[in-house]
Amino acid sequence: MIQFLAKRLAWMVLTLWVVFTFSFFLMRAVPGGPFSEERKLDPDVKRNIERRYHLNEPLYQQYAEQLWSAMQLDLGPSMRMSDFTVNEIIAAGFPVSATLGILALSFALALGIITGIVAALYRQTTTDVGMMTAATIGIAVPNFWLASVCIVLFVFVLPIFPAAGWGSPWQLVLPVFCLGAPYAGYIARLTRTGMLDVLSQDYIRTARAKGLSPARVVVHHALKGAMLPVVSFLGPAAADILTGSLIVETIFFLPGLGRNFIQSATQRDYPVAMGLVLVYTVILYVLNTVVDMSYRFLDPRVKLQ
Amino acid sequence: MNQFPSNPPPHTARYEALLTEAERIKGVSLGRDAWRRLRRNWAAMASLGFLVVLSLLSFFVPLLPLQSPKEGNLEQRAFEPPNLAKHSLDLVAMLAPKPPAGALPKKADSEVNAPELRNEGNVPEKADSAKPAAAKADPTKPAATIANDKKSVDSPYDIRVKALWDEPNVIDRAMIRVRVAIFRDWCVPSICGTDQLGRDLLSRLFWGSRVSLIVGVVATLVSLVIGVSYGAIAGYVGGWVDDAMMRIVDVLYSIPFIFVVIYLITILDEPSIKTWLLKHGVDKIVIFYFVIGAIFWLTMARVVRGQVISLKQEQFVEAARAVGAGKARIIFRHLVPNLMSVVIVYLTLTVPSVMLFEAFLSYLGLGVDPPGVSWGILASEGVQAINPIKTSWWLVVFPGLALGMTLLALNLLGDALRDALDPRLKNR
Amino acid sequence: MYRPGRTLFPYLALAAVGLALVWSTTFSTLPQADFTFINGTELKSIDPARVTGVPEGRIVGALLEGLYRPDPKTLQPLPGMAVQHDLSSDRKTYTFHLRSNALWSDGTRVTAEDFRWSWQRMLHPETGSEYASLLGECVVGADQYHRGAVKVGNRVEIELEDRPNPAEPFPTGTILRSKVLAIDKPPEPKIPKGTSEDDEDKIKDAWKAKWQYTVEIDGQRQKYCKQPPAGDAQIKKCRQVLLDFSEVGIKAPDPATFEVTLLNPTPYFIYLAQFFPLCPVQRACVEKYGYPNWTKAGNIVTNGAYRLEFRRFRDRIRMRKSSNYWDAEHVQINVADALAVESPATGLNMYLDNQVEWTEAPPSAVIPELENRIDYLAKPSLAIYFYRMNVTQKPLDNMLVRRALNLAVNKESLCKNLLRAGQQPALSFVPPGLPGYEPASAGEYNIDKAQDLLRQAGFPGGQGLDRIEILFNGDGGDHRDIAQKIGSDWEKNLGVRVGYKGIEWNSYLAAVRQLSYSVSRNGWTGDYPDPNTFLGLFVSNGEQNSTGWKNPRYDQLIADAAREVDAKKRLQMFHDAERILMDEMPVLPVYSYVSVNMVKPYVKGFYPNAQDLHPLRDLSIDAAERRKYFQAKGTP
Repeated sequence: MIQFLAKRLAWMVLTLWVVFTFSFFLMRAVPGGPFSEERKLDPDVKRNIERRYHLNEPLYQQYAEQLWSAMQLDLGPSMRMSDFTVNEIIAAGFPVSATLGILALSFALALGIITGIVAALYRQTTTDVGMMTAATIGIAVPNFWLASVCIVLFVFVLPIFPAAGWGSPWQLVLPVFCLGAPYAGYIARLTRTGMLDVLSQDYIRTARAKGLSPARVVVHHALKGAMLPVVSFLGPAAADILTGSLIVETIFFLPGLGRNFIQSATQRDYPVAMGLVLVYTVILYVLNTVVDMSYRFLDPRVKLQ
Repeated sequence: MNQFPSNPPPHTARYEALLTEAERIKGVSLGRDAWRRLRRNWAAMASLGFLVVLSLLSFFVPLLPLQSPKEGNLEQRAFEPPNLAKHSLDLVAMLAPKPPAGALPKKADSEVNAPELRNEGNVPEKADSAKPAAAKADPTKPAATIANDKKSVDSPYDIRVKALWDEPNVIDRAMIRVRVAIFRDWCVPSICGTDQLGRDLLSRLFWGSRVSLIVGVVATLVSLVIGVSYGAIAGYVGGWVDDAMMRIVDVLYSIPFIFVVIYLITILDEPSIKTWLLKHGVDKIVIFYFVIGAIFWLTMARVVRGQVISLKQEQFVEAARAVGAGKARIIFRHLVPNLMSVVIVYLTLTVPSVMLFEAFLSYLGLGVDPPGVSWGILASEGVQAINPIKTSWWLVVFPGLALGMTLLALNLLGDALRDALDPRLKNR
Repeated sequence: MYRPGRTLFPYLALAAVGLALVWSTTFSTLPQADFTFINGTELKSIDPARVTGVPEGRIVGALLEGLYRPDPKTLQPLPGMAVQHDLSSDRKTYTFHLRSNALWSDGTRVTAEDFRWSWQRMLHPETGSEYASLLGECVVGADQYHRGAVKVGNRVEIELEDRPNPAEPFPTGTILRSKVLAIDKPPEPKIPKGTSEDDEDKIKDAWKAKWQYTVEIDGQRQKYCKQPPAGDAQIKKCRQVLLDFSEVGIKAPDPATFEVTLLNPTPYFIYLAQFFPLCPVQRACVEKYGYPNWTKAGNIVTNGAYRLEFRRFRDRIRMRKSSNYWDAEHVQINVADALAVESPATGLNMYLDNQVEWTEAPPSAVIPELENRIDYLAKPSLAIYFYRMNVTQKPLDNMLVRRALNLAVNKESLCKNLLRAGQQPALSFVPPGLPGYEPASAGEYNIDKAQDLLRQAGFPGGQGLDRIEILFNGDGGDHRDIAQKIGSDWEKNLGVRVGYKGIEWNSYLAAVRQLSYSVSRNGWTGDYPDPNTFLGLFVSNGEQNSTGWKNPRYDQLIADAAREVDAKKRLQMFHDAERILMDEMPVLPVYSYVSVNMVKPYVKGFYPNAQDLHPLRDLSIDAAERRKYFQAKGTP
């Protein structure tokens, strides 16, 4: 186990380095400097600013310096929103995105698993078809579209929820729903497939033959096996929710990482974009590792390498 | 084996009987069996039918009697709700030089000729400074003729076609000719309403389907080619090569790709790079194929690798190796065809995610440039039109429906295919 | 085998959900502000020397106060930190008299020295203020100081390499003051053909760093250089050589007197005195914390009506009334929140949902539905939407083509049917409404005339014309729609083929600056009510020209206007200049902006005005009317 984690950690560091290098050069390849403003600066003035951000140095030197400070977890000041450092921006946005992500994922899991189980148990009935169609629709609808329709329906036609903003749990309902809905759809389908697979296995037949109640069979025996595909989906899903939240965060005006990310990427805020990419990479890596470990808990046959 | 000829005839009869019997019960191939099971799934068949019809329609869209997807009437037709008011293309009148079967009204004739006459009369008067470079080279020729030498003069019809359909290619132009010959100026009324610039939404939906479907399909194919080759090679070769290749996939998996896409598209959108690309026939849609395709191959590579690892233990691979087939031949001739079922399922499920991704990029303002149009652009325009005071519902509902129904059909088909191709579910 | 993890797993997941729930509720402890408004994008900074945008201006204007402040109705200067000023007879020297009861939020007095230092800081090349040219254009010596331009005979300040924080211009290192006796320049480097502008700047910069300045300090001749040649101990290294700030026309003879000497009589200077980039900052605070820490809520010292309570990135800025403000008794709103909402649609949603009291620029599609409401406030503003045309590219190098393009755009219909907020079709580059100034018209929509011009240019009916591409920045739907409307007018009326290209803001700016476009959309907001803020853009070497267009007579007129004392003659010169601009048409004016604000009826003191300035300190909330409003709505 410890060896496994150590190996993973080593890979993560390597991945981070690759991501850092890749994004560093990718960002520098974009034409139009980070300080293109409507009012052109005097060349002397411009150079002074560039000096502040070390943009006047040769590329390899900038790379080395930034890599060094990134290794010390110092990502420097933002180039666009220069009152803030990247660390402050991440620290401010992370709780928002994390709350949103965890809630959306929990919502998706709860809804998806229940729907999936029910659909599997009532296979090829109207319930099954109806639920699976609903799940597929959930996957098929772009979430910005869903979010806008939800705003019209639940903010203005039926004034239940606030239009946007961050501050109370009430304001989180719509964003969580819009963010979680497609994943609920995926999870429902995965659970159904998994359940169908498991329900035809011998050990379930044995359990049934033992005379266990159907509920007990499902919850204690079938579900664990059926969760494998769901769990393996969770890693990428959690990552997707984190990145996918950028649309939802924009529409509902939530000050999370996603909104910062899209803004910094389009505004050429190199340090912020870089910092957020690194944060996302770490989160993704951690989540994937957690998923791999959870395989072991769920399926005794799996050995960690 | 060599006993065979030595054996007496009675046995031959038995073998022959066996052979005929074997031929008779040859059984159904996996594909045919899957097709049989797929046919029983009405939802999947409906989806398949829908998709086939949609693809045909979007290919033959210039043939349909639709309004212009590009020319709007801001003054009178902005934000028109769905209606049945008549609308004319005003195109037949322009066909003057080649009147089809003399069916041209007289009034149109004079309209067409007048501007041409005026043009010719004015050519020599043009300002000196404005002479095209070619004119200076040959001062005896009037400038307009020189311009004409360079590019053939556009007839009023051609100009009008370009105004209505944004420089259609040869095939489309031919289809437009047929359409004009059949339907004349008649168009389907704006049964889906019009947008903020007074353009017909129905027509835009059909033209948008082209971009959306092409991006979806081609990007998926790109990802398929990369993913299958990569996965198959890694899985078959195995050992440290496999390890290294899969580690690379792991590393790539951990990069938030949305970021890469945003940056790649901004880089490739930069004027100087874009001009260079355009010169080589690469436009934004092509960029889309490759950028999106380059992202979606990772899952494919993993899935294919897994399949290949299990397949390469199979006897037919051993047999191929035994008769001395090379690695490449084994991979691409023997293994890859056996991956078809996985690949087909993956295809039908990737196309919708790619289309969603295109919609998402359009929402971020990174979609195709106007006057090009895609469902993603229409959906995001619809979303921008949403507000509590005045909702132009048709701008929200119809693009949403088009996108939603297509993605739904693809997903349903994908599911059904997966079930149908799953041998474990055979005969169930 | 028993694994605790297997049983713990579901509980852990549940715990995580619970934690997230608790977490999300902790944010609701924020008490409601008295007044909440949508402030557009997140602020780049709240340092007045670093910002240019409207959202930044609102916050800086609430936190800090300049010499004067704008009247919310008329925009004329009202007493701020200065009570009044004297103008010398040649109209070039302004002497401001500061009020004695002006205090910083830490209780110290606001003095003329604060202004002098703040303006110096703004002009300092390493501050990098985009608005430094405002002072540079009109104040004696300001431009030389800002650009670090020094001539033999000038008094200079030489800053040595001992700054406490090398990244910050203030606090400075040791400063030596002297007269420059000589400047030794190495031979000027040859710039190879085809070098990009950026590289050219770099080469020149490296060259200038090797200049050796001979000065006399303590009676000794000494040589200073930014990059002294190695091995020569005679030449000392210094960090900056700038014009001595005492040579610049910005002086503080005593704590209550602030004196500014201008190059020319500049009638609009008085408006600059109330412009937010020229607000003072407290030297002690800036030098103690350094940038960016001095802008943090706990550190910043302000002299305006509000103090900064906190900032939440891309969420909100909370401001609280400052008790030390000289006019605190007239400041009505105690706590104000500025939300960083970029999308106008979200802003409108929040407004209609009663989450905010003020939002601006609702999406144009809904304006017909809003314009009859009592809370809809629209006013033509001093801003122009225009298309730049690249006159170095075919076929736009032909003046006749450019004029034809202008006449073929139905701006009236564009304003009425697409923009819908009462925007005025622009016939001139300077928007209407500047007192005494009559704009020069470029001609109204006229298809026949446009076709005629195009024929004269040699492209009858659009034959032989290359495809014209309209470039716009792709961040909003409006630019795209406007481009498509204008493009379709061109196609329909002139037979020109039009392409469209929407690109991201930074690439767009780069493309415009490098002239790699044919037609590009732009907007310009006047910084002060004077034609100069518009017409000054298109002088031959203007930083904002970006069209490749040059006209010596135009340059002459603009330069003459700057020196002209007689107001009427001056405006006539501007009119003549605009006549040239409109005849040669390197820019195609499309429409003049209208500022649209949605303000709840119970907010008082909000007046629509030409610069769309609404100082927070002049707003108030009528509590009784607010109660009535919500009772009528049926919501608390």
